[in-house]
Amino acid sequence: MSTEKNEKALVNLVDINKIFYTDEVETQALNGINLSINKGEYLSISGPSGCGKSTLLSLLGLLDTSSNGQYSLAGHDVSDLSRDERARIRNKEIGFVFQSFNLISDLSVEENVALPLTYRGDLTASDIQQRVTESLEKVEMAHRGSHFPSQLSGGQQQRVAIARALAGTPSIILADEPTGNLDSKNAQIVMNLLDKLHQEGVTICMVTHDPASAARASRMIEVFDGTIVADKATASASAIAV
Amino acid sequence: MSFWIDIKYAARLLLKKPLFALTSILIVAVGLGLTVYTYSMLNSLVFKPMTLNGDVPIYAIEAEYDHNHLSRRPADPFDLNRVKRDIDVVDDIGFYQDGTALFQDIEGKSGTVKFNASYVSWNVFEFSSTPPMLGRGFRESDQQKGAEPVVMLSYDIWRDYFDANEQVVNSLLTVEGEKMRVVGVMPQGYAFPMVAQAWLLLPPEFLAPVERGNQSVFGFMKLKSGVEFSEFERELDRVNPLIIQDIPEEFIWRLSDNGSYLRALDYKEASITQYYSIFIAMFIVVFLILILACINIGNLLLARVNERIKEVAIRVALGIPRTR
Repeated sequence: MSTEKNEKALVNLVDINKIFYTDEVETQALNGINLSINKGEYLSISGPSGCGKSTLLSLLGLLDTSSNGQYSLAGHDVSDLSRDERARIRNKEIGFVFQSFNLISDLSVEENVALPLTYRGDLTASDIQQRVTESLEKVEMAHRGSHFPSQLSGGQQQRVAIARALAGTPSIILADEPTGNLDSKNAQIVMNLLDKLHQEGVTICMVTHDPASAARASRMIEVFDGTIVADKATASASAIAV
Repeated sequence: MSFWIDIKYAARLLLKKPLFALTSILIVAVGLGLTVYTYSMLNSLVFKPMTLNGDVPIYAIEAEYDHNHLSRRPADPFDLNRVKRDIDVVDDIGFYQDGTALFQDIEGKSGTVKFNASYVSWNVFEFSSTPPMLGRGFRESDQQKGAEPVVMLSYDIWRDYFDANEQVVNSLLTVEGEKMRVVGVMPQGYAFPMVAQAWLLLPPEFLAPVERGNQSVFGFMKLKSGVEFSEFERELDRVNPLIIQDIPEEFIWRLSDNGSYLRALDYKEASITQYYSIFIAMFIVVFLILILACINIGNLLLARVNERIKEVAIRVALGIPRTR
């Protein structure tokens, strides 16, 4: 794999390493990761448990920092930012979708979707309301705006989580096993939604165990022992190309 | 919008665990209530200087505090007069003694009644800028040799022993075996220079004694407008050694163990010298109760944080700024 920096890429990881220290034990979670993700790409990351997928997603999401290496997002070097700067970029540039939805149970659907927007400080109440409505309409959940997460099914909660990720119009959506807690019917709905978003130009990076879900991405990456062992276009990419 | 979301969220959390919310609020309310109550009480009693009706602070002047017996000590009026004469910044000075007075043959009451009384210099009511509720205050002429003895009643004994009869003013009462004319009644709650049920005048020789004697009084004074207390203290430091130097052997008992004599301090501080440490100890205890309440709340909240740790992680992932 090339260690050259791809200037046009939305995400550019160059020679990223992540080492965890627990007492006297040193664990190399990521080892020399080089990865570029272009704008509009739909990428899946798969691999066995403990291979470093989630660590890679944490680094991509600026939830953690690498031990060394360079990470640039949307043309900006984000390798050595302070915690506050990382929080600001995470809020503006990255949307998260988690396996267990992670909606806040005491906030309504609308409030959950509005939450990341309220952290920005540069949006008016009407801007926030407009974005919330648009996002919920996109995932067909606008009619449940005043409900609380406990009143929704798993699939509906995940759609709300996707709306929350979309509301801030991020550069990339990071999805960690988005269908892991869903039955097959709801999983299908969520995957269709991600496909639709991709077709609309949203950049998606998804960690998944499920080969069928991985195959829906346009590019598939396999991680093993902290190293990218495969990086290939999928059939769906060919289909899109055709 | 974020403000309203936070408010609504907080309200929902409180309603979700009403017992927890009620307990927390109650603990904080008790802790804070006790502290605020004690502080406001101490502020009135201890910290705030006494000014009575004017804005001019009042100071006490007396002999050094007796640390062996934990009591205030009066001074010779001869020496207090010298302070007034030698220190130019003193505007007005007055004297008093605390004691009791026996009232006899009060109409409708049998026997003799003993009241707490303040024996004062004639200027006490003018000094405190408080006119009597009925009648007149003391005059300088009342304290002259040969003047008719006079007495001022407090509101409480006027109400309780004289049935709030306004005719009592100008009547004659037998006080300490002597006929005295009632010149007035002070307003309810008036307690200067100390709590008393009646005010009587000091004998005239206390006001301007020509030589030292065994008579002892406490002093109250005001400084001239614009004069800082520190300025007076410097003057007192200058005059005190001169007074001490002049004290003959027979009155050496007036000096404290370390040989010092007069002291001046805020009037209120002087009045509560004996109780000051009790007040401060009380405040510390109440403050410790507040800290205890905060620790309890802290522990309760810590337990809640453990429940909310996942939510915190979600908010961090969504990019919550540190200030939120």
